[in-house]
Amino acid sequence: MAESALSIQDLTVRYRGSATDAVTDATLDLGAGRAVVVGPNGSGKTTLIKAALGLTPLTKGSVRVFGHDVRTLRGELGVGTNLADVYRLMTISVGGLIALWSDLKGAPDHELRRWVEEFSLTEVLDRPLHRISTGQTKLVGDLLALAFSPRLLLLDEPFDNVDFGRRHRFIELLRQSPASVLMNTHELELLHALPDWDLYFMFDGRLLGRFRTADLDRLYVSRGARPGALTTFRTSVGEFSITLDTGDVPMKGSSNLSYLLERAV
Amino acid sequence: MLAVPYTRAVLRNPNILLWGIAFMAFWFVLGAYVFSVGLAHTRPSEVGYTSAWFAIIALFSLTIVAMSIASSLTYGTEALAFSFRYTRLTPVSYVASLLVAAAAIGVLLSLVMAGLVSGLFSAHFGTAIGPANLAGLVGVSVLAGAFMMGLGTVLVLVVVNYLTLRSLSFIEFVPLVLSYIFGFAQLYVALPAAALYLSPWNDMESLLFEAYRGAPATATLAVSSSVTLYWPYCVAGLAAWVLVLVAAASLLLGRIRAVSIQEGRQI
Repeated sequence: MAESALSIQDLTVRYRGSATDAVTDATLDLGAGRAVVVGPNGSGKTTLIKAALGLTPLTKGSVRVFGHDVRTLRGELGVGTNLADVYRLMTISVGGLIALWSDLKGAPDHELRRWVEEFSLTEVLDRPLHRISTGQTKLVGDLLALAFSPRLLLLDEPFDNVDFGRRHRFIELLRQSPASVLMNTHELELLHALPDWDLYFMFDGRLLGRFRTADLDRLYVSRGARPGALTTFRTSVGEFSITLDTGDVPMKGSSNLSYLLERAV
Repeated sequence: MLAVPYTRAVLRNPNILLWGIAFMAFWFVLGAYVFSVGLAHTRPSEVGYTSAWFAIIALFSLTIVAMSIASSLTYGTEALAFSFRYTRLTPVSYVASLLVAAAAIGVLLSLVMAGLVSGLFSAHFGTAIGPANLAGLVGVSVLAGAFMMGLGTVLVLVVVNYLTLRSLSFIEFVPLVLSYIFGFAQLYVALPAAALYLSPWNDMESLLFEAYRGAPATATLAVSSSVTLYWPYCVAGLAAWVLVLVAAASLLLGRIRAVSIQEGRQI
């Protein structure tokens, strides 16, 4: 049996000097599949991605990438991410960055350069990342993640500050990629474009799931612990339940989880 | 793998141009036209005086290599931690690239300093005073660049891996502070020769002096009659420091802790 692309077991992350966990007891096995984690800003989604990449110390639990402990992993070329900070090895133009990354990955960059043109990013090729807009930085990260034939993609809010047309083109590229994907977002409406993905929710560092994105329109959020709930969770404003086919507020039509919780309160 | 882009990136850093070259040129102007008042108008004293100025200011200029690398590393820990896991980059190949880049930048800075000091001091004294041993100067600069790279890397990684991040903004200035302390100490203070051989800053200063003047440096540069230093000991002392620092940098890079840029900026 093939090793899971990403296996997270009982993961807890607490930053130095912090009194609370950023991620608490998270468990997720991606297998060869694709999963999206949805949660409000500050819920621990980015920390989960960073921990999965080995970029933040694990307080408890384990992360395995293709069967290897992420803490001792070296030279695994099949992993891509859109976190912009991992591309800041030095002050270098975006064009130089593409050439450099092609060298570091040992793979040609012609496909990536074609995407750069297609996404109308040629104007930023001569500029370093810190001199381009937030949306352009996000897109450059997205395309660098997708380039060089990754087998596992870890994407942090890939659609933030990206316009409608390019969001959907990027989703098309994601669909065409054979890579396993763990992606996080705070935007519920985009999940309709990913109907066959596993779905997790994240609130205050706790990962809830697994659901399916295809069931999104059947899910409801209700105040308090409801009988027959698929899961319950506690936030700073109280306890909530996620229920199927009935409940206080339907996820259908909600743009993000913060808004959903506000309506449920 | 990274040597060429890294060298380009450092050379395009305005801090190198401002603090590594322009500010040092200002010191040379002071040395040539202000502090030279009262100097005996003899060729040996003018050459010795010019060589001492070159040695100490070139040392300060080279220190900018350590500061640039330290600053770049401070904001690049996540990138390095990621690259070692998910690209062909290894701590050893990264150190090798930095060594090549630092040596190239070191040579360039030393040659610029030599050009500036030759032009300004020759113009003021009315006689040509240039570097006597250009090949030696290049050799010292390569070693000095390597030392500064090792120093900047090790200082930042010790803080990032084992200490509190509050020390980071301070640590970038440690190489400069030490260069000033040791650099000026050899100019005026009678230190034992053994201490000078053991101090990498004084090894660099002595070798830069000798390469420019074409005669051995003395334990106290301002006193030509003080103990004469033996250049192979200076080279051996400096090379030993480079080896230790490069080995330490490679080990520390292998255990690098990723620090987010936001976390770094908050301190």
